[in-house]
Amino acid sequence: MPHVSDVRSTSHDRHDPMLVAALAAGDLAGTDHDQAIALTRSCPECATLHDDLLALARATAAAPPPIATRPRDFRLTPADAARLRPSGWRRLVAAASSSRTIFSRPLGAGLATLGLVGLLVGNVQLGSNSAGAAPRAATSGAGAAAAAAAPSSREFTSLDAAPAASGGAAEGQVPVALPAASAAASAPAASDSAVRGSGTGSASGSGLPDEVHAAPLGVVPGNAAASQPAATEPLASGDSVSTEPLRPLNLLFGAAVIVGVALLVGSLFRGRRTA
Amino acid sequence: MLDSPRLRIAVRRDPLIVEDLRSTTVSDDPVQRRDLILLENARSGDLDAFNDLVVCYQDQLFALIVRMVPDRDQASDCVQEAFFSAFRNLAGFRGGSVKSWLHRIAINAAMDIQRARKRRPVQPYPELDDESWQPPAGKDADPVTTALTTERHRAINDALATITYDQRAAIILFDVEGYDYAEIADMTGVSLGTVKSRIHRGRLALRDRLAGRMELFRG
Repeated sequence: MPHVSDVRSTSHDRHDPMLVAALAAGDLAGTDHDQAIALTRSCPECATLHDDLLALARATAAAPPPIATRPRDFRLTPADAARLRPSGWRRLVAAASSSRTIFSRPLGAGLATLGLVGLLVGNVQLGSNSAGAAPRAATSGAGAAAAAAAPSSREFTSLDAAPAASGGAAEGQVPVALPAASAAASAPAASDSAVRGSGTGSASGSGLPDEVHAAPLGVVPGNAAASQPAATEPLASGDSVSTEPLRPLNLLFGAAVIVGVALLVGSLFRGRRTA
Repeated sequence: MLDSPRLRIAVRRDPLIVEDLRSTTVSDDPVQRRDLILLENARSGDLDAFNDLVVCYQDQLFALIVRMVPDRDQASDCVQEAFFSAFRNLAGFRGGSVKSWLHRIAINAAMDIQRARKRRPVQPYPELDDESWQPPAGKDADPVTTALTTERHRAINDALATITYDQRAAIILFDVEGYDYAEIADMTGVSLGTVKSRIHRGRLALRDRLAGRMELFRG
């Protein structure tokens, strides 16, 4: 059989001390307030807790700091000031992202968005151009077509399916990517070429300039016969013209993204730390 | 439309720039006006003006931080770093109270110190072992009362040093510095409910720590 005091303490243990603490802080209203008041009136422990919390709040407010005097003077020396003043690009970013410049966040967001959209649109256009070039390249062959396509191939990576069908253009050259033009017909041959290639093939045999050989074109010397018949259509000159202006635009849009993000991050960071 | 309550709230939530404050709220408070003038001069490159601000607030900031960071050297470094940060970010001041702005920077610096301290724990309040310093007593203070007061202060400071940093910061900002819940939430970057919860739980934790010494505080 439990003792009476044990029963009481068990009863108090079921009470919510946070409710009493909230009452002591004056944060309660309505039914919560009434419930807490009833609790402190009916439960002596809750009443003591309430009084103790009030006393602790008063004591905390009245307590002096544990260390009375600061150990040093915190004034800045001219050397400190010179070291702390932002310089160079940090000064520019600080000035641009200053909260006094109320346009910093919208400007940053706008620049970043514009840059991203520009990059996306530019590259989608680039992708569609290269995709459109591939079928045409597939119908064309080596020889003159390869010479015409070669300049544009410098604009593409290996994933762009460069529009050069250059079968037999340069034997011994290392093929970096399989061109879309000859992929279907001559993939095994390209592999053979990759195995056999020494990487030092000269341009003299193909009639192409040296930089063309440095471009990532698949070269299929053993498949020249398969791609020779229709080598008359100048396929990629238009493509090279359409993709050429995208490079500076990409740089421009990329710079816009970087500046915009820098403005945003700068203003957000400064706002969080010092606002 | 300009008189709509919604717009008024938006304007009040958006801090005014210093020049605007000078012509409105600053004129009512000479301390605030002094601070803003000093801050504006400091922005213009006047180091002496900034150091005048430092002189005005270094004791307050140290008293605040030394309650939160239980090591004198770390607290001192924290205050120094806070002033460095304030100087670096003078352009980031959005108006309002310079004191609150400095407190916010100092609290952020104290949080950084606390994070670093978790990796390198130190003995809390080693200065409390030194019995030489006592709070000043009045001329007609009773020695018993003085001793009790000293013991009470020591007990509460000891207990404060043992609760979590978040609870300690919330209690000090609320009880000692007198900030309201919204200001504390703004300073510490948490919600209003979190601030309340930290204060309530912190006080309950203090009572637990002082369970055997609560007679000091009763009556």
